[in-house]
Amino acid sequence: MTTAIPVHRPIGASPVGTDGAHLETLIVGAGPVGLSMALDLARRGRKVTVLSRLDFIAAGSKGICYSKRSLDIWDRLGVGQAMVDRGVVWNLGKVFWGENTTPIYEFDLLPVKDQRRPAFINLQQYHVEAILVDALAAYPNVDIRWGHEVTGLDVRADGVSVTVETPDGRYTLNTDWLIACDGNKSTVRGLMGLDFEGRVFEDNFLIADIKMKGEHPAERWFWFDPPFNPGQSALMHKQPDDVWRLDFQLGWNIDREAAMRPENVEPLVRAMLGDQIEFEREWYSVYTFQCRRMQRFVHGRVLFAGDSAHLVSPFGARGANGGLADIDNLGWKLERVLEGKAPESFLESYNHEAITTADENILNSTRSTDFLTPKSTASAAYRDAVLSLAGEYPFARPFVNSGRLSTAVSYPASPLSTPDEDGDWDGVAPGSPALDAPIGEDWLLGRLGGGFRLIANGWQGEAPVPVIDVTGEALIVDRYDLAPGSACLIRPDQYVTARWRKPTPQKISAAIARAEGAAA
Amino acid sequence: MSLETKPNIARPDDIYEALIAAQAGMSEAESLRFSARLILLLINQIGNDALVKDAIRAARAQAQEAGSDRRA
Repeated sequence: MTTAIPVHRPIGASPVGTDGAHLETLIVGAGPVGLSMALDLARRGRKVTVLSRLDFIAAGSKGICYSKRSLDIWDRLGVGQAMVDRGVVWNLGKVFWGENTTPIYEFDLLPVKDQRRPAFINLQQYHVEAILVDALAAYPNVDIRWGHEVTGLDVRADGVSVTVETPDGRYTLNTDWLIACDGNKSTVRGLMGLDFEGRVFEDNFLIADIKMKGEHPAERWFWFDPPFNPGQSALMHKQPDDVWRLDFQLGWNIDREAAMRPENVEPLVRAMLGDQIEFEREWYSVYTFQCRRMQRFVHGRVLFAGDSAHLVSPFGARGANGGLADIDNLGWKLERVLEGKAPESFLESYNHEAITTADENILNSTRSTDFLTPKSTASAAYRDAVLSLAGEYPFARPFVNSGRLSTAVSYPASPLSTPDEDGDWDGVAPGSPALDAPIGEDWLLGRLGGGFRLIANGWQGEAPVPVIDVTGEALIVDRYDLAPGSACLIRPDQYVTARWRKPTPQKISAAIARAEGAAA
Repeated sequence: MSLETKPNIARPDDIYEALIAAQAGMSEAESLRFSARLILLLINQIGNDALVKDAIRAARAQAQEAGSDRRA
C-alpha cells in the first residue's frame, strides 16, 4: 500500500540485514521522534540502528509546529539552526469571533524575552525529517534501514528478537534495547498487545494545505464561528515555501470521503480567503483525534516514545513536541544504562517524567477540545458567553481556549531532583527546564551542552562537573535567583536538578548521584 | 475565607427582581447564555479559585439531592 503515500525524497530500500545479527539499540520508526532519538544517542557515541517502514521521506501533511523547547533540544543535537533557517518563525496568536475582524484575544507565546529561540517555528514534517536524515549521515555509528518493516517480536527479559520484512526478503535481528517511535498505530505496541486508554473526540477537522502568495502575517489565526464556516471553527497558519495550513472544523456526522474532495474543499477556501484568490492544492485530508496514552512507557527492554505512547489533539502542537520531550529525557538515561553507570531501574524515571509530560499535554489538549467542541448545551452556552464577553472585557480573554500551545513541562515530583534545603528561592526550580539568557556573545543554553553543568555566581569551590560562571550576568543571576556564592546544577537534558546558597563538592556529587538514579 | 452562606445582601428582593427582569422575554437558550455571562463576571469579581470551587460544589450538591432539579 506504500504507493499511495506521496514521496518527498526517494531513498530506496536498504539491503536485507544479516540474519541473527546482534544490536545494542534498535529504534523503530523514522519520524521526527525516532530520528531525533537516533541523533541524540549517536552524539553520545552509541551505535544505533533505525528501521523505517517506508523507503522514502513521505510528503503530505502532518505536524507543522515546533516549539521553543523542541528548538532548544535540536540546538543541543546540532540541528536547531538548520530548522530555524528553513522554518517560519512566529510568536503571536490571534483569536477572532464571528464577523468581527478585530481579534477578541491575542497571545504572545514567548512572554520571556532575551532567549535565543522564538516561541515556535512552522515547518513541514518532511523538511524536519530531511534535516535529521542529513545530519545523521555524518555519524558512522548510525544505520538507517529504509523499507524495513517490523512484523514480529519476541520480547525477553534481556532483549528482543525482531522479525523484519524487506522488499528483498525477511530477516531476524536481536537487540538489547528497542525504542518504539513508530507512531499512533505503533506496530510494536500492537504486537505486544499493550493498552492504549483515553478519550476519542466526536468531531472532524479538514486540513487544506494550499500554496499561494499570501499577504497574511506569520501568526496563528483562529476563528470561532466565522462567516465562512458558520457554527464551526477555523485556523490559518503560515508554512515555508508559500504553503498555508488551513483547518476547518466540520462536525461529527459527515461524509469524510466527500469532505476532502477538491470540489468540496475549494469553496471553503474561497469563502475564507476571497473568490479572487489563486491557489494550488498541496494536501487535503480529514482527521479526528484522540487524547490517550499507554499506562506505562517502559516495558522491560522495550521503551515507547512519541505518538506510539501518547496521543493528543493537534490544537496545542503537543504531539511531535511531546515526542521530542520524550527522547530528550530518554537519551542521557539510556546512555548511562548502556555504559553500566546506572541500573536498568533508572529508566523508571523516564517512565515517571515522560508520563508527567504526557498527562500535562493530554490535560491541556482535552480542555482545548472541550472548548472547541462543547459536549453539552451548558458547555456551549459558557463557551459563547466567554467569546461574547472577551471582546469588551479583558478579564474574559484568558478563558478563550483555541489551543494552549506546547511549552516545556516541569517535573515537580521527580525523584531525580534534590529538594531545596536552604531558604527561600525564586527562579527556575529543580525539575524545571533551564531558562535561556544571553551570556557574553553567546547563549546560556548553548553553553550547557549534553552533560551535567554547574551554573555558579562567583563560587570558588572544586566542582566535579564543568562550571559556567555567571558573575556579573545580571539577567541570568535574576532568572535563576543566584545570589553571590549560589549555584544550580543542570542535568544533561538541560533541566535544573539541584541548587544551593552554599554549595559544596560533596553536595554537588550527591545531587549528581541522585539525578543518575542512586537511591536518595 | 470560606463560602459565605449566611445572608449577605441588604435588599434581596431588589436583586432578585433585577435578576428575573433582565431575562424577561428571553428564550431558554438566551437565558442560559445570559446566566453564563453573569456567572463569569461574578467569578472574576470574587477572584478566588477556592471560593468559586466551593460555590460550584454547593450548587452541585443540591443537584444531586433526589429530584430537587426535576420539579416542574
